[in-house]
Amino acid sequence: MLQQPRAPLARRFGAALTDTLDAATGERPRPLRPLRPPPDFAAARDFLEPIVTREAIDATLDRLLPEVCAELEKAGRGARRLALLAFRVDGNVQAVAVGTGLPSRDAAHFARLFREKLERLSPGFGFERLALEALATEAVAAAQAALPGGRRGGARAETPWALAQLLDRLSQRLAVWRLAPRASHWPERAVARVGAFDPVALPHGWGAARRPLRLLRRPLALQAMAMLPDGPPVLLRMSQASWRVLRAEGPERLEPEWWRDRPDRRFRDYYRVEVAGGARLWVCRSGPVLADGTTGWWLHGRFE
Amino acid sequence: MTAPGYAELGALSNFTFLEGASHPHELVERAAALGHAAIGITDRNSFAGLVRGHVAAEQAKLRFVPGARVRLPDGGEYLAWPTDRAAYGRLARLLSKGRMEAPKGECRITRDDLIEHTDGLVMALSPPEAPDAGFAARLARDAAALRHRLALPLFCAADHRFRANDRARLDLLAAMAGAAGAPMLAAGGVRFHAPDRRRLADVLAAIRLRTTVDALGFAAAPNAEAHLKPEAEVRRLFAGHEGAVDATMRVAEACRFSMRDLSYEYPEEILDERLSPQETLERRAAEAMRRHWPDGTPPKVKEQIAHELRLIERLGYAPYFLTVHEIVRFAVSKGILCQGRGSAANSALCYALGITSVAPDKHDLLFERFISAERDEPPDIDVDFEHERREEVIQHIYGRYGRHRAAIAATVIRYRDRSAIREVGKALGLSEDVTAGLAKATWGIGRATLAEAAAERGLDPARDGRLRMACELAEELVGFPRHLSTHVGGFVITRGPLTELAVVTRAAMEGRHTIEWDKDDIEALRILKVDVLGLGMLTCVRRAFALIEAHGGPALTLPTVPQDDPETYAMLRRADSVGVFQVESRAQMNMLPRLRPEKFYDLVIEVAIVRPGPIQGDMVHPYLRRKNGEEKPTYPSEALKGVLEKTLGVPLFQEQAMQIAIVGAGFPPERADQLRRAMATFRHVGTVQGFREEFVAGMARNGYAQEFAERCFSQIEGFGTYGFPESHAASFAQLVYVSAWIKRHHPAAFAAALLNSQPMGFYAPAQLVRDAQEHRVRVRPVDVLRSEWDCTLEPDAESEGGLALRLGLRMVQGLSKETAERLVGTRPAWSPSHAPDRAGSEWTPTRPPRPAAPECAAPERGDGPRVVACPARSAGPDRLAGPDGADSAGAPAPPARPAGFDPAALDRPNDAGASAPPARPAALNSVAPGRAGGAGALERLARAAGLDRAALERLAGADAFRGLGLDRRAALWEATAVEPPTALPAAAVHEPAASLPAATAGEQTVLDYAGTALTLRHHPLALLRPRLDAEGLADTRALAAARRGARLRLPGLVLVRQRPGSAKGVVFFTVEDEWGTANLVVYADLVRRFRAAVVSARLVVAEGRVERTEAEVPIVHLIVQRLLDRSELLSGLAALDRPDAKEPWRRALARADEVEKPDGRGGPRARLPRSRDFR
Repeated sequence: MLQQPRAPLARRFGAALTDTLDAATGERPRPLRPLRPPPDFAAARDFLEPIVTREAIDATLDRLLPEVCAELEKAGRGARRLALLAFRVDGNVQAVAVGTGLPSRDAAHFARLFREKLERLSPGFGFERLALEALATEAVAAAQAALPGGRRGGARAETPWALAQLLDRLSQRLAVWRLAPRASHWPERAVARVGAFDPVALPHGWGAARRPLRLLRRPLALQAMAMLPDGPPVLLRMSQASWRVLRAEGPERLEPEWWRDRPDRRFRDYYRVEVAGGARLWVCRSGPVLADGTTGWWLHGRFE
Repeated sequence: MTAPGYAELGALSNFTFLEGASHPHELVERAAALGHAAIGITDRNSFAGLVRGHVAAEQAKLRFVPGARVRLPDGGEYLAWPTDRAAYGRLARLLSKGRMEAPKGECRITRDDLIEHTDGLVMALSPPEAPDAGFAARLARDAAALRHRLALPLFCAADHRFRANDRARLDLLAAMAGAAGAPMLAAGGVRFHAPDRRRLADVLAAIRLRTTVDALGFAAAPNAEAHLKPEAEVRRLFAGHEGAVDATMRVAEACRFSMRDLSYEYPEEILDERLSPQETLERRAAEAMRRHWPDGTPPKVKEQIAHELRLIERLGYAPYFLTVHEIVRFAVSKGILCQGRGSAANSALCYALGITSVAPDKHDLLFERFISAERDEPPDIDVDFEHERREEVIQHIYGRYGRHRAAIAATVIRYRDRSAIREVGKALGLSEDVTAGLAKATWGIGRATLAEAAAERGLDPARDGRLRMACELAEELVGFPRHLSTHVGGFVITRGPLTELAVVTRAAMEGRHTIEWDKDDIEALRILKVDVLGLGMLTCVRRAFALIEAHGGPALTLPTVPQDDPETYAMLRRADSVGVFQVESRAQMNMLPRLRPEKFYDLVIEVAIVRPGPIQGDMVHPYLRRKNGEEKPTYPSEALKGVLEKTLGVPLFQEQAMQIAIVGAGFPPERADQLRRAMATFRHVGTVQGFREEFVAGMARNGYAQEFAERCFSQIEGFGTYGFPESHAASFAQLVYVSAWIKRHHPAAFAAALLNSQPMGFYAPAQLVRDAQEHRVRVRPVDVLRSEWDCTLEPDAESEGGLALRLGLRMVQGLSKETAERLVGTRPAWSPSHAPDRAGSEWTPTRPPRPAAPECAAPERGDGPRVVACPARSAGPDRLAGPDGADSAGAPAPPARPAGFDPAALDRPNDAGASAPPARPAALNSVAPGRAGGAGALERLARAAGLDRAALERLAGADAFRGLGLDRRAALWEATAVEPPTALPAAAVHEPAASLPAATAGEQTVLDYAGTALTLRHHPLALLRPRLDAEGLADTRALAAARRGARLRLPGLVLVRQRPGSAKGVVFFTVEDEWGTANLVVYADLVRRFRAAVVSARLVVAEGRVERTEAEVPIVHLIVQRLLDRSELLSGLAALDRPDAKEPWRRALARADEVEKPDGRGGPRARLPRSRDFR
């Protein structure tokens, strides 16, 4: 290749080829670019005398946080994830990271989140450098960080933030989740746990079927009297108590989701019943009536 | 039953694609089993499933109420059933209108259209899930609007599917219905015949919504209640609304229309003036006889034609013959070759009219096999036309009868193993690679289940529930209709508007439309259709005739080809039949030397015998033994002797199988015909079993051995779809003979015609060219100075028949016809040597013929890197015209090489392939001046013909610029420099010469395959031979000479892999090396063991035992015991990096290969309908 005349090569394959050739032979310099770009928002402190105490670390963090937050504010961004890197004198590097549900640049909030986690650092002979880096940032509309006047006016405006901050704090220690509706005919599957900050969309048609607001975690076994094969119950009995059914609607027959359920799961016939005394219950019979006339009845929920 | 009666009239079948989850026949059979009074199928805006349902209902002896579910764009849905033929016509017209006004697959019907077409219908409005005030208003409005049109008042459909509030919903609907004066009707809640189809229904929904079952949400079925239920259950669910159930009987009573009422009416304009159809036909027959037999019709034929005319008159089929004759007359007037096939060849009248071309005295005609009074079944005439000119015939039909009266039948595209598992896998959320793996595993699984195939691929359905479900559901889905496509050429032509007979819908092709029924439906309804089919071989024959005539030969037509030519039969007996119609496949080639055809009727048998029917029935060997006199023909009885005498006591043809059922098992003719249909079209496992018992019992009653009866029946099973009627075989045998005759006497013209008619036939161009060379035809390469688009013939005294084959530009991969024609058209403007004849210095490489001297096997071995300077290249532009000829004349050619061509000189090769580092010839720079001249010519060409760089590169890749003094590499180098044409005159660019390394022989061969899918240089295995010899591998010469039972290790380039349905999982390979081809047999257990090599190898080394049968030419197979994938040797020939050249060896595969072009489990079984899979 190198012995070929250059002009015909360039004519046919363009300048890119000759450039690449030159780069390969070193005729043409090619700067290297690092694989992972350095974080855009970072601050660091170096210590002549390694620090060992928690107080010193806290104090340093209290200086680093406002620096990073100020930078973030200038850029109109908020951090979702901050990491504190602690460089020990023996070359060991420890990292403590905190995350938030919503992007934030509130130094005090971050300080609180860090506080609970800094215990994990083991300084040994001391840290000679602490660095704070924003690992993930998102754009945040400019907002006044706080009202100058006083707390009374600001409290209201801060409410959503306050909830987010509360959730952030809680989720440092506990699993925090919320319920989201899910499109499924099967009652237990009609809601799902999602992350505290996950967006929730209402699937089309969700809520059309009349269901109790809350289902019993464990359905209660019942005895019932009902017409065969699929008539609604006329009398319900649980341990010693019994209720006469005044009104009933059903059956609503639901089959298990065959693609994920055990193959031996039985279908259910659900009835909405109103018993003497006014309680409205959601009861079901699980599976067909057996040869000996018995069948399983369950109380699955109560209409409020 | 004392119950007052009930019928589900609004069931959805799976012809409401991806919604209904049961076949029409399943619904019908279930309804019959439940004791319903009738069954009605209403598919959404479609009649597609009605005929299937009707046929199933006739068999189940159940009343069938055809109907449709009319869906308006605003969401309103109506069930509609016609009460009589006129109302049916209106409903068909309504649906046709909606379909024609919408894009393919959709239907747009307005409420006004609907109301206008409702006279004589019975209708019911279908309620939404939650009936609201809007529905009540619509019901009231529609009931009023339709009151005086409908046969019964508008009904309000209602169903009970175990929703939470179904009781209340029924009460509400009853109230709404009462208010609107529209009685309630229990109908429309059925989507599948049995509850266990719920899973499949969910999968269908997921496929329809392009999601997975996990994400279906509320689109999944909440329960499995949308199935057919017994009357008592329906009455219980409708308690308090029994009137709705009773109303189903009122509707069923009112709708007496049956699909049988669709009697067919013939078009009129085919008649001569003031003559009845019969008179017209008789007059035409008389004319035809005068023309055909100017010296007087032979009395036997005359008597036959008179007999046929009498029968036609009795059955009233004259218009049908006239319709077909009309089309054939048109084709003949335009010089389009055509030939009738199928049972029409049993008719002397068809021969006289020119519809068929097998002379009546060539075989016994049995007109009753074509048309019989007892069978009351319409005649079936299929006519093959040249596939390239079929469109003219189709346009003629449209022009003649109008688009409102002529349409093509549909073909129902069904789920096959591969498509089913792919879609089900996707719906169940299996990962892409698992699904793809399963889909691949379906090739060659034979009768094994998908789960077994999956287990073989290392997937474990027993442990992975999802995978098991996917396998089960895919098996259920197989056979479901997926969409309607256009049939290849079955035309339905009517007297009145077609839209009143069937729903006419748009076809994918612009300006085409189809009716919704496929050919089985049409046959079941006894509607007449004419098959206008395309046959590649007819195109090829016409081209060959034209070439022969253009080069001084006689002008030929199908009937005037010299008959009974002994040399042609001798050639066929040698199994020298590459390219010959029908008998070119591996199986046929093995049969030819055994069957030893000597006369026309032998060819008829040859065509019919290599079919799944006779093979499955184990009829081949007995026939061969008897034919060769090793065994005396015996007949099971005197009665059957009459049936079987012609084929020496062995049933080979479809008619014979049916005759055995009639004569042997005592079936009435219509029962025998039902049997054939049961096999061919509406296959139900259960019915076939019933027939088997009846058949065997019948045979036993008449005193036949059980074993013989079983054998006959299994043959009938094979015949159902793949048997050949004798007449059909005769039509094809005629083409076998004609194409064989051309091959024998005009090999160059035959090869050119075949290449120009590609794609067709069994083999790829590489094998066709090679075969021509082996018949001493000189083949000249593609050359921009010489080639036309098509392959042409050039005079050459040394070639067989004095004509050499010049490959056309069509061989250049990726070059468009338009570009090529521009190139040819502008040739005078750029060709440096347009005038002089260069025949003397022509580069005509010839491959060493098979029996050549052994040094050809390793041409370059021992020569060392040979440096050949090209004197022509340095001699300046005036020598450009023929540099290579001069080269080769000057180079020392090995004595064994004929034709003065030395590929070694051309290619400047090194040692074979990559085994030694390529040595650079020293004198390369001397090429430069010559190339500069060539480059100028190339640039002139590019400008004059307006070729872009891509086209130039394709041509250069095909090595087509040798005429300009540019070898492949030089031409590519120059082609990359050509800039897009501009208006400015070209500025002469003087550039220093580049030094291009010479291509090795290996590279040349590989690039030849990449550029033209064939090579005229060395076969790749010739280049690899030193290496192969070193490994102690044999070649095909050794195989041909080997004793039976000898063990060999044979390398070969894979040409064809086939797994015939009749061979129990055995895969047949055809492989090739530089000396010839070899057949490998890989048994099923070895296929499993060496599956990777079977499926993906391009170069195999097969180790096995030789199986040899002595015949006129010995039939040799290698029974494989070990199969190795050695494709890496091929990649060693040349390193390729151009994306289009990645897989040149794939191009070497023959067209018949089933792995690269599979369509289903059983190869031919899945290919095309009855007898059309023959290529």
